[in-house]
Amino acid sequence: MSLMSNTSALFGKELRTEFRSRELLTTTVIFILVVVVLFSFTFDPTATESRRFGPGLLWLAFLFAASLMLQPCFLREQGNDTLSALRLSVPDPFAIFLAKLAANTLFLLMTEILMIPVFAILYNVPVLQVFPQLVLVLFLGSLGLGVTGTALSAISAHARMRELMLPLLLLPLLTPLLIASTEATAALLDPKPALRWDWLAFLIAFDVIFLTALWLFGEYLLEE
Amino acid sequence: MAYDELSAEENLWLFARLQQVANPGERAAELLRAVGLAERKDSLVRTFSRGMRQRVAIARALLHAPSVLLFDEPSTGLDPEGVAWLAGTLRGLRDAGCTILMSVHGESEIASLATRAVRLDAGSVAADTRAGANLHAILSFADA
Repeated sequence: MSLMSNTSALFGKELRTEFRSRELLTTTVIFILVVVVLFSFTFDPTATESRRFGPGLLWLAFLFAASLMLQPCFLREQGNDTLSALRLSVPDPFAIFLAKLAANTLFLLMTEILMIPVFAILYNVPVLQVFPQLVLVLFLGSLGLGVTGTALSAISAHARMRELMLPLLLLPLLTPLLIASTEATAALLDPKPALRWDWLAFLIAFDVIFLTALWLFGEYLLEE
Repeated sequence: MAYDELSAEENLWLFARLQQVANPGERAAELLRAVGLAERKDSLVRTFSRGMRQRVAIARALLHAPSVLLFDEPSTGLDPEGVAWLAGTLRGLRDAGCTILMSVHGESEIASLATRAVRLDAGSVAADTRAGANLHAILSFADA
């Protein structure tokens, strides 16, 4: 009860902070937009080519955007030493992670959903008929990015070379997630679209395993 | 220890809720009045001076009416009016039975509230009023 109540209070704080500063959303939207537009003009892709490399390009852009978004996640708490205040006030530190994870996943998903129509238009790939399934894949992929990214952001915030540490830890760890998300997206953008349950199951398993690890060991990640 | 992008009231409300204080809204409003920030309750903390931030931080520390308070240089950044306010607040808390442990450098209006003083030198106790040392001497760095 206290976990959910604390999580919802902290989640509200994360949303309020972001919607006032618009720091993370602006950075990620611009980054993804630049990547998608630049590749579109460089390769001038046909619909067939787009279906072949589009999903990979999209998920790479999402991954780099996520690492930009997740970097300040715990660094923001260090400026005014608010993390210490949170630790003193919240009995279960998992609530801090859960709130940040929910906010990061939501921001990432919002950015992705905003960018999908741009991708569809520039790369001539119809997405409307598979949009709900695509949102499901985006959600599972973003949740995986969010869980691992939030955990690693807590670790890297205490490190000396923190700007380098997060991508260095995040990119190898997320390779399986990136492959599964790309494969599931590619199957949906195929001329004969299909929801690949094997890749979806992989994504769900990835999310559950890392969420459980965060629940079990999250407390130690906040220690200096 | 307050969020820049939240208002003074939102900061106090958030921590009151996390600490499961009964009626968090009322408690936040009460403390904002007590620290003299009721008129600026809706202003974002990032627009506050250092002294005002200090007041928000002190109000946050008092949310759950703690029986023990730890302060590290509580008057840092406060203007003379702020120091007088803080001294009054701490005096009130001390007289109400709250234990206050604070680190200070030298004599000040805040330091004069102490009922016991200990001078530390390189991590060891160099002088203690409980061991017969003079309180004024400890605070003024004279030979205790």
